[in-house]
Amino acid sequence: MISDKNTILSEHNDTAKIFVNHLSKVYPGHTAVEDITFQVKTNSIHGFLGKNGAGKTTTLKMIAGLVQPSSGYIHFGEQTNNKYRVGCLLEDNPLYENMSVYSFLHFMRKLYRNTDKAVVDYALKAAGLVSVKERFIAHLSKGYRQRVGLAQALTCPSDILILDEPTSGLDPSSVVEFRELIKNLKSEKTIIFSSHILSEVEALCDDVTIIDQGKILASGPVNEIYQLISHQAIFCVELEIKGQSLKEEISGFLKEKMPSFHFVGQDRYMLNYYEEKNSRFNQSFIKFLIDKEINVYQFFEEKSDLEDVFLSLTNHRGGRL
Amino acid sequence: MRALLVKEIRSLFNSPMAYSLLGLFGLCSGFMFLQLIIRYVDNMQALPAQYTLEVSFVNEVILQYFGNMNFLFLVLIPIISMRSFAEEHKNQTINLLYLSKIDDFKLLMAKFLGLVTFSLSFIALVLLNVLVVLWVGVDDFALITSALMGLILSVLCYISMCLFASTLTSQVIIAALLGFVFILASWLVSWAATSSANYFYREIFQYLSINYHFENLARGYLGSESFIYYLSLIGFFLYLSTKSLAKRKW
Repeated sequence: MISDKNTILSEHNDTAKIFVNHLSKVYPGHTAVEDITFQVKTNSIHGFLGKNGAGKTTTLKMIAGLVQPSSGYIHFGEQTNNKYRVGCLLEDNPLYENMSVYSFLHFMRKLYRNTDKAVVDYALKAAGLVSVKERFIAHLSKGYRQRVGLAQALTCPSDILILDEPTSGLDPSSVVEFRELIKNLKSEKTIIFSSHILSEVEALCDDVTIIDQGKILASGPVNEIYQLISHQAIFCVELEIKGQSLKEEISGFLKEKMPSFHFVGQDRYMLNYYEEKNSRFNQSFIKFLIDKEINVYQFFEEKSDLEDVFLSLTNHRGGRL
Repeated sequence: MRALLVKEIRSLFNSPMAYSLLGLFGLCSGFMFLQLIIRYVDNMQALPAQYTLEVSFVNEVILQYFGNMNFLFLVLIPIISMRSFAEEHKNQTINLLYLSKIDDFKLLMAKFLGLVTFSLSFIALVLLNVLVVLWVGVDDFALITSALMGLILSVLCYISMCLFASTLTSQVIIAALLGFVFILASWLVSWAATSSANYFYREIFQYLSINYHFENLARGYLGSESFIYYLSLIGFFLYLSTKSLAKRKW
């Protein structure tokens, strides 16, 4: 079920593992999170999507018990206990650098009071750390350090895993490997995965919650989230523009439609803009192009992705996340 | 808590700084001890024979030595304890500890006991010098034990003060300076006592001074008020530390 803009999802789903209810966090002079409500299904990957400073990390820290909510509460299945432990890979990925990978994971296992000693070997294997287990954490690359962060989260005897921007700063091949790691964990854990990279959330997650300025804009399965902007479409026009003034005239004509130009080559540009489906605006725009004697090579409607949903919901103008 | 305590002790003993400090402390304490013995021998040689029996080796050397060591710990404890919480906050590793849902008090006790264990290795060096003179015939065990107890209790107080200082900031140097100021303040209260004309205030300031209680124990006076003072001071700063941790957390 989708929680749409300004609506609060209040129904408890039987398959849900985490219930976040009317959660707020207010710091002096600043509201980080304002009355958010959403659910995370058992054994799913739930994407938590938002710009930098949207309130993602604060929300995840509240779920992990690192930050006390100003109001609202969080249920873990049947439990409301504050002592509920959650495996967590934090954004800063804090690690004890003067320890070897193996001793660090053993230390974390003991700290989490996990009596299953085999969990360290499991975490090493799952995170692909077997070959570097005797190395000091200080000597590891960023990619391996992220893996150590994930492995320490796995030593926690919890069925919930929070990953706060786990792929930030990784090289492309490490990102792909890391995504595979996360996908493999889905059968055992309920995962909340925060990111500001939309393609990543789209590729990994079953459900998504979009947050902006501390408020939830939408929450639900990815395919249902798309429906939120089903009435909207992105139109792409490949055209020939000679001179800056003509480009400005087109921008002026489309100013409410979030136009963006991408240079293709030799005065050719690909123009994208948002417009309601079945709108008569496109006809007037084509007429405008004919009047200005602009050569048009292509005109088509693009399939929308999560980025479009996000831009549409946040009324984001220009640029990317 | 045991896992954290073991980790604390390991990280304290595994750092090169630990051994540098131990070496430096051993040198300083040995040098001071030797100087006191040389001065004692010089004084004895300068005194007429009938007065030499009135000069006690324990008073002139051992107790002076414990006093000097107490002063060295004033500088040393802030250095060894400055990283306790300040570095955890700076590196955000404190969040790993909080994720395990460990009680603030247990967390604090693990840090406290780790530092106590480490500090005892410094006190062991002090004791080594004392054992040498015990071996050559000095036998005032009771006074030496009492002075040692005073030194250990003072060190425990310094640790609790410095731990509190470390919970207040993410900067290790500031934590060390704050710890030093707290300890110094507990010493300087005795100045207020001596400079106060009012008997009532003088007594209060004297009671609040850590040096007054250390001197009591060093003189062999095992008054319950000194033990109450030490334990209250340790408890007070540990309590403040738990409050400070809880406040920083939220």
